Amino acid sequence: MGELHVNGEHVSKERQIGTVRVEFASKRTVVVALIGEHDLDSRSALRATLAYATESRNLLVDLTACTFIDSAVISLLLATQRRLEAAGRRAELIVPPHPGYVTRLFEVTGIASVFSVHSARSTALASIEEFALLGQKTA
Amino acid sequence: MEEVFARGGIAYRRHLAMGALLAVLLLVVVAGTLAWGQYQGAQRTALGNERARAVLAGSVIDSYFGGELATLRSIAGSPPVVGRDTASMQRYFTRLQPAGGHGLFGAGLAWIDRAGVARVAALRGADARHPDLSDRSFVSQVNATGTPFVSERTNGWFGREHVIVMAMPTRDLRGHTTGVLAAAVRPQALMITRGALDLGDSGLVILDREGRSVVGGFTRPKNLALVRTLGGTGVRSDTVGLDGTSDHALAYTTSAIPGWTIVIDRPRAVLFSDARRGFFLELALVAAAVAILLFLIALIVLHGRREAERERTRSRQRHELSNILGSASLGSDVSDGLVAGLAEAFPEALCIVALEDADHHGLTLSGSAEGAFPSTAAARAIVVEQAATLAYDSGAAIVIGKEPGLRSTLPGVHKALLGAAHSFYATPLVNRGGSRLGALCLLFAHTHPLSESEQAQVAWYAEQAATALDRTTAFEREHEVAVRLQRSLLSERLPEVEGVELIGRYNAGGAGLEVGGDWYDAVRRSDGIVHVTVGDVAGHGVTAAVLMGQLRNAFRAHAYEHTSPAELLRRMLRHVDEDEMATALCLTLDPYTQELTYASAGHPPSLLVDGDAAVVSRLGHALAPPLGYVQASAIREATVELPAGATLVAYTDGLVERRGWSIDAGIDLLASVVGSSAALAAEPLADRIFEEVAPHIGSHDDIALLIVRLLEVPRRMDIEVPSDPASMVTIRRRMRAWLELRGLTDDERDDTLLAVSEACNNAIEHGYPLEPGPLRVLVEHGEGTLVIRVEDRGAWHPTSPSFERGRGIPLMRAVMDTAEIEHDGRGTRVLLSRLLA
Repeated sequence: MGELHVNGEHVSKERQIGTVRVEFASKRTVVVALIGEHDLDSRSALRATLAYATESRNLLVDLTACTFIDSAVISLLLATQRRLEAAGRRAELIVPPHPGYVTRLFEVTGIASVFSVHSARSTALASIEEFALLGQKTA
Repeated sequence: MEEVFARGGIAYRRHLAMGALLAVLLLVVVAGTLAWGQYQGAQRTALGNERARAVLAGSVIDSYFGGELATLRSIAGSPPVVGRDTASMQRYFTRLQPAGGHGLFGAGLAWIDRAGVARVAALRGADARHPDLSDRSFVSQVNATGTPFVSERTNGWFGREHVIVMAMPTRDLRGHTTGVLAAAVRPQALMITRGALDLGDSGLVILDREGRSVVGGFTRPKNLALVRTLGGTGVRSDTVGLDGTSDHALAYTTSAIPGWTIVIDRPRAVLFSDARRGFFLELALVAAAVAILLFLIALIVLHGRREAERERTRSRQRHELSNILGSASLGSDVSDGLVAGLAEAFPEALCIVALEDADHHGLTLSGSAEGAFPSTAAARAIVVEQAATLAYDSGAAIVIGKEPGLRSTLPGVHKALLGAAHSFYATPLVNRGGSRLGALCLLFAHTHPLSESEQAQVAWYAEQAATALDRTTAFEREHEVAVRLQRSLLSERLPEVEGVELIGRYNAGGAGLEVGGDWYDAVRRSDGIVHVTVGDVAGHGVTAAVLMGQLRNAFRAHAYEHTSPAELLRRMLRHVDEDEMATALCLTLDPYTQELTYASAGHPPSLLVDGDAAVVSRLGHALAPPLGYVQASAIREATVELPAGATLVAYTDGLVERRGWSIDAGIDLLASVVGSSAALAAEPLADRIFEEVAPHIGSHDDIALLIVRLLEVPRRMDIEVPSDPASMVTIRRRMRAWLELRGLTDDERDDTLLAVSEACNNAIEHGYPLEPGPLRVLVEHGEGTLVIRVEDRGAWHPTSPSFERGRGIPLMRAVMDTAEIEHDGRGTRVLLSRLLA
């Protein structure tokens, strides 16, 4: 029965709000990592981030450190994918290699069939870069 | 009042005694001086008398010899003697000295011619027909001087017997000396002088010219030197006596005819015996007077000392009564103290104290002591009704010293006490403002008129009691207000929380007199979080109760806005002024996560008992100084896990603070009791704490005790939160913890969280699209099932369909076994269920 923690502010515990890390991996690809929980509350911010990040790039959404997403976020991801595909680009996902909330969600919702899903960042990057080069050649 | 007490003061009595002793000393000196003077005078008188006796003795001897010589002269002038007719002379002499009869001269008569031959003799004695004239000094003396002569002693005459010879010249018609006519007397004849002087056997000594004692067989006194100094008439008061011993007094004179010295020599003791006796008698009288006076003074001093002792006792009793009355909080304390004081001062008296009713309609018996005679309650009631009321109504003290007076003045009382009461004293209790507050009565079984000082004492008691009553009345009024205030704040029941036992106890301070500022309170928020507070405002009475009320209001007001106990304390801090102080503890319990967060401002640490192991730990982190001293920023909070079965005990310092003990000792005692009672439910645990801890501490302070016991993980989670998307993170966090505690699998847990989130999103987006409203989430974990119900009270707002929306319901359906959405005028309900593994 030890002390869990001692602090002055309750916020760090109460609001484990999700954060987003945007990484421009190359001229053609951006990696957006969702960390923590993402839900209706963070949807707007996430939408703006995705819009900005994917202006000219393919999107790789890294869900490795994501602990929760709800239908609002899934819908946003689907909408983003649709928008990018319409622009001739791609949106793919990286999910944790081990079973957890995200894998369970994907299993239940069948989203895995809509997205190209990778279990490692390197293969995901390689896959999406390959697609991008191909697209350039065809263009 | 004080003068009356001072009059019997010990200093006053001491001065009186000293004065009396000085007076006695003066008396002794004066009387002694007078007696001594008188003694001296008596001695002088005795000496004068002695001298007079000596002179008298001298004149007695002179007149004796004068008479004898006159007789001898007439014989010398008779014809036979003048005519030198020896034969006629012989006949004449024989006639004068008849044989066998009493002659003129004791030892005979003789005529001696110029040749010194005894020619005629009539001697008394058988074998001495002629006088022995071997010592013829008297003959030669007469022949030489031609005048009569008295000898000292004469040897011979009768042989060995000494006599005194008187000699007279005889002459013929022509005046020629013819011879000497001599007559002898025995010294014993002189003894007549002794008889004349009435001196008894002692003292008178007749010394002849040679210094021989005439009467004492012509012996010489031992102290011949003294004899030679005795000339003329005089007296010596302190000298060596004739026998050579000292301390004699002498009176002396010289007789004219024989020229002898008459001495009265007596020891001073004998001479002054009368004077001395008188002196001693006087001394004895003085001594007797002094003894009597000293006895009287001793009596006075003893009496004074006893009086002083009594006064000291009274003073102590007054002091004690002052203390008792000074600390009295209730009217009954005052009357109890007054009765005790009276009973101590008058142990034999029936003491009755009656106080005015609250509605000022009369007197009620408030206290009594039975003293010497037992009385029934009815009798005491009659004393109150008649005797006390008499003094109360008259407004003055009533003294009845004797039984007839009592019988006539208070017949009812006399009868009620079966005639046992003989005297009576009563006085009203009047305060400084002149209001009558009650009365006291003293009844004695004997005639006992109270002395002035006793009356003063009782009056003083009455005055003190009245003053104390003024104070207690005000205090009781304030106390009543404070009690009402505090009880109104504490009487509310603590909220019922599923799976949690939550009880509060309040124990008013030991004497139950002063209202403390202790409080406890608990609020169950609609989101299931329970805020608990325990605190203690420094001080007592209405002021403390008011601040306590403010703090509790602040707690309640902010409990719904904040989930942080530290933040609650910061809000409460705003109500505490700089000159006020309170210790407070805020605890926040989330029964779904079993987390306990706490923050303390100067409050003694709460105890946490692990239900299984009975390990007691103190909540020792997140401590800050008391409210009133602490800066808001210094208030911290800490979180601990409170597992099912665990008990938290929060309390105020009255439970553990004992004078002379460190507070830690008190807390350790509480911890040991709590630790050994871990299996008890909250109510019996509280009982045991009050039975086993409070008596050891014996504090008069108030005690607030609050026990939180987590019985089990709640079977259902029922929360209501604002429909704020931002709160979803918290809801999920709490629900995740609860679901884990309920033992769901990871997948079941994740599915549930997703489904609840979706249902909440639904309410947020459709129920309250414009502004947030209440959102209720109820998750019930039954036997192998999980039923979820999410309700809002908004109207259903259909949103424009878009690609981004509308995936919630399918998602819910995907993770749940059933999913229904109902909406009507009251709002929307999402009903989900799922079978569990």
